[in-house]
Amino acid sequence: MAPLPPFLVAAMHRILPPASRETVVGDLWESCRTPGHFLSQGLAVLPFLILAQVRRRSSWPVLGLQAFVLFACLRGFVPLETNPPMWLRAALPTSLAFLALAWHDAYRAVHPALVARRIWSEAAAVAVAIAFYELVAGLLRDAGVLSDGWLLHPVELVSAACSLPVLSVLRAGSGLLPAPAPARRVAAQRSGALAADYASFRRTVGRRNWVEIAAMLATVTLAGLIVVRVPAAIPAKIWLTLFGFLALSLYLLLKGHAPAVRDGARTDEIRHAFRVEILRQHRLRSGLVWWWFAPLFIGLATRFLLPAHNAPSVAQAVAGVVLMSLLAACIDALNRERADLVTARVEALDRVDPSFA
Amino acid sequence: MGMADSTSLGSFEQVVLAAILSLGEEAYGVTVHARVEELSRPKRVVLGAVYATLDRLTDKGLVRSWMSEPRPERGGRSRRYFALEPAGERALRDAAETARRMCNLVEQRWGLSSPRPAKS
Repeated sequence: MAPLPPFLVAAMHRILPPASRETVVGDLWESCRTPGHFLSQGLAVLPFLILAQVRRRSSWPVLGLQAFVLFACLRGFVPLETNPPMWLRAALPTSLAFLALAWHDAYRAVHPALVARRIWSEAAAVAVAIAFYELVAGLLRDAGVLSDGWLLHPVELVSAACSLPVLSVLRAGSGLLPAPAPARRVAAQRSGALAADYASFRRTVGRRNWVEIAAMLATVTLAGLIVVRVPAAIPAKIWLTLFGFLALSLYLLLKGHAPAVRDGARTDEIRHAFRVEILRQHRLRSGLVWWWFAPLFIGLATRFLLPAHNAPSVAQAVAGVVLMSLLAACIDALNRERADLVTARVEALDRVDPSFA
Repeated sequence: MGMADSTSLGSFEQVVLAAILSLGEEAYGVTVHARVEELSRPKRVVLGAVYATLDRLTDKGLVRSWMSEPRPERGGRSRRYFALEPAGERALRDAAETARRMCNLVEQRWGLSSPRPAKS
């Protein structure tokens, strides 16, 4: 084969998803006869690799919930008769953000990044998607193709910014209990490794609690700021759930941590404490996900099933029931996804041999 | 017919498993693609489809993979080798049995190696 220009190899390395870079660039290097062939083959495999990585690494319940949150924050559920329709104007940036998050999953580093870094990069992906929508809508408006109504209102932009903590916590929280890798399982069977594994779990739980507390407090604070500007913007029923966030933050602060085991504890003691704490954290996170979406459930019920001034039409009521069922199905699927990881982790713990203590 | 489960195979997955089986210890991206093209003739097979299928078969627990040492003929990059897991061998054997029964049926109906009669 003709020698490949280093910049071409570097560029191909860059555009391929990290999980496949090493082997795919190597395969192309070995099988392609010319730089042009290398380039065309690389570009041809790219869509397959991206889709395969999205399928492997994205959590569809999480993506679905994130789309719900963003769509709600962009006022997609407000049943006002506008031109363009509110739902359509919200659907476009939401779809872009959905694609950006799926893309982000495909290009995520192979080794788990720090929670905080992951949160920032995902929030940035959503922000870029919305900014891109605003830019394109603005250009098309200036060209006379679209009306002003297609641009997002400043309130919607603030509200989308408010949704970023929820979106990020959902993403970070979904990886709360990663499935034990084979190497990790083997390591856990060696003396002392189980204690180290539990200590690492405690640190992860601690970090995630702080993230969740910060996100809850940020949500309540931002809601408070919105109410200062627009007093009737948030209904009283939603405030109840926001006060719930304060109560839950307090609970996480006082009781959310995983307790330490005493020095010199036996393997079976650590294993018991580990198993109890994994299951408790799973129940806690499952409940928290439902609570995160309580304002959205209330909002959907208020808009579609119990509108303030008139009885809902059949179509409106059906749409409300479908949306609430879809939301509940996403939450349930997310919790079941985590339950599978919990089961795998508990089974791995059960295989730990106490004689290694 | 049994219900679809995690080991139910699509026809392309069967071809990829057969390619891995036939390549033995030399099954990695380039060779698997070449063997799949050979088995699928005259159809052309896109390299990306082979990668996506290999990933899917790995996720289903039918195939395992491991990385080789970096190799000079690949610009210092590793190969990702593939081998069948016991579940993959079972799934491939089941698929081959089904294919054999189908083949017998077709031969009984149309005769050995004879093309399908054209409609008059």
